[in-house]
Amino acid sequence: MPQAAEAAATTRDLQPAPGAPAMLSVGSLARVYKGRRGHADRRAVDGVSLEIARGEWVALLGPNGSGKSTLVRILATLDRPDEGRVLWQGRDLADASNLAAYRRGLGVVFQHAGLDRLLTVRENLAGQAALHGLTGRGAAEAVARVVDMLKIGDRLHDRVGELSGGLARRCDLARALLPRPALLILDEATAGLDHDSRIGFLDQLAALHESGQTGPMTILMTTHLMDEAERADRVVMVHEGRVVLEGSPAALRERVGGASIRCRASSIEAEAILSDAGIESTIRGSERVARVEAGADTVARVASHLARAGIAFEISPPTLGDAYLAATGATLTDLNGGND
Amino acid sequence: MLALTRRELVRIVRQPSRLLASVATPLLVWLLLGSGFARSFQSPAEGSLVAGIEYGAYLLPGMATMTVLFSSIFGAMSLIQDRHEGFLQSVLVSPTPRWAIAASKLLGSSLIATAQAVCLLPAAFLLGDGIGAAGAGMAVVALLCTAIGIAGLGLACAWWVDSTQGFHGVMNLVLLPMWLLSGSVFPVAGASGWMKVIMMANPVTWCTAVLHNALGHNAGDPVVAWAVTVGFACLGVVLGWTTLGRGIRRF
Repeated sequence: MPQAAEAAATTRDLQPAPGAPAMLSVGSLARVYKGRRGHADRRAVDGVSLEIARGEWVALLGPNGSGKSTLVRILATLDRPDEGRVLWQGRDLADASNLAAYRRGLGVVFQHAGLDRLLTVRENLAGQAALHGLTGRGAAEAVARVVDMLKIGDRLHDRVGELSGGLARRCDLARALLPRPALLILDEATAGLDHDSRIGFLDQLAALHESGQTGPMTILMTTHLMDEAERADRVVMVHEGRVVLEGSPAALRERVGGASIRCRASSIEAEAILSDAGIESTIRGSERVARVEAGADTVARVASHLARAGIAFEISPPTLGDAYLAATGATLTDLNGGND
Repeated sequence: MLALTRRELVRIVRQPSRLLASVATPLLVWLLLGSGFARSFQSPAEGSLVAGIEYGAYLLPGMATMTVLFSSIFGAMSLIQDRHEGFLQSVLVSPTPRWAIAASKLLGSSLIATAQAVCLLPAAFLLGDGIGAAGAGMAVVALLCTAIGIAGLGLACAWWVDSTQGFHGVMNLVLLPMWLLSGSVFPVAGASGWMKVIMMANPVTWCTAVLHNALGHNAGDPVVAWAVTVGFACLGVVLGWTTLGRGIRRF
């Protein structure tokens, strides 16, 4: 587990008071998928330990296949671990008597909206309210609250199947918020949304985080997108089922240091310029990308040479993707397949 | 629980083509088989060769059985769709007990299937059979029991099958022989030795027998028929419950 302990979180104020249990405490969690037809077993989650404080917004960042969704399925009580345990406010979820109470304060948004496409928005919300034990006036008030919060009042009588992807997502978020969850879990919740819808959804999430009933709402979200993870108080980087690095987005970026140079062309000439300056580069799509660990002088010299050669380029501060690359040697777009 | 049952009912109303097909198909099959085979099962000397009644009249309870079998299995199949579309996950993470989720799925599928099958019963009047209040009540309860049994089997199967195509394959392999060997198309008494054994072991045979008895046809011991039919419903409840309750890995 490289350098995990060293990347200090900057969210000290969000940590529980001494003696107070964390909202969620995960200890040495593992989930093993049995190999079929002679294939070896695969540890989708491999010894993950994690603490989430009350009111904290945590992003699990990693590419597809890194184990994020398996972890989330366990935390959403849809799966159970082969090893380790999960404590919710100090109560062990292996004890069945704690499950119902945990689920009462849990909201989950999955990759696919948990709504019935043949039912109207109102019917879906009323049905979900009933699943949380809300009926009659209580249900009506809960529905009115989330409808008002997410501004979907004008589409209440439309069938979910008729809504755009972004709007359906908002309705799904409304569904997850019906029970006033103390913990909101989102698993790649913006998958399939266009850029504007995605940003709108994240803005709404940020507003919700701040406007929790009793302090900020605790949010755990999985993503492979850096700009989404940037919104969180703390980013937990997951690679091959393990937590490899965690900390605030700023602390993680700062830890990497240096800068990134992105050449708009993957030409040999660009490679030669970078190579002459002692910088290794790789091709990503149509671009040549290099990480510069050296000081500002080297960056300025390389920039000057690239400009003289007529190569379009961009110099940017380190990103969470750079931090992930430095920690794992893999990029956030690596696709490993299988159960995520 | 009522919310999920209501959802099943609303869904069927919003799919008129499915509703229409589920009633029209058995009517069409009844018309075609009943007309096509009517003369084949007649003897100039002995009259009808099928339980002493017109073949069309004999076939009617079997059509009701067919409706309830296929409709309740389609209801169970919606579990696969619910899982793929994410709806099931949103239900499973709610504090609603697993038994209530299983019960609502069973009840919703079974009520729809029973209602569709009951639509065929008035056709008995066309055949001059008639059906009294007691007979109608018996028929409805028997159909409901069968629907619950089949829905439970279907849920158990749908939980482990990942695609609707795969489920269709299993359905054709199991459900079609189950119906053909239920006394719906030909009577148990006329079947060959080995086939008779299979038919007697088939729980759907006994449900069809209850329906025959309800219409005044003589189709075997009513006590045994009722015992097997109710037992089949209990089996369906147990299967549905254990599937949704224990069939997933959970804490």
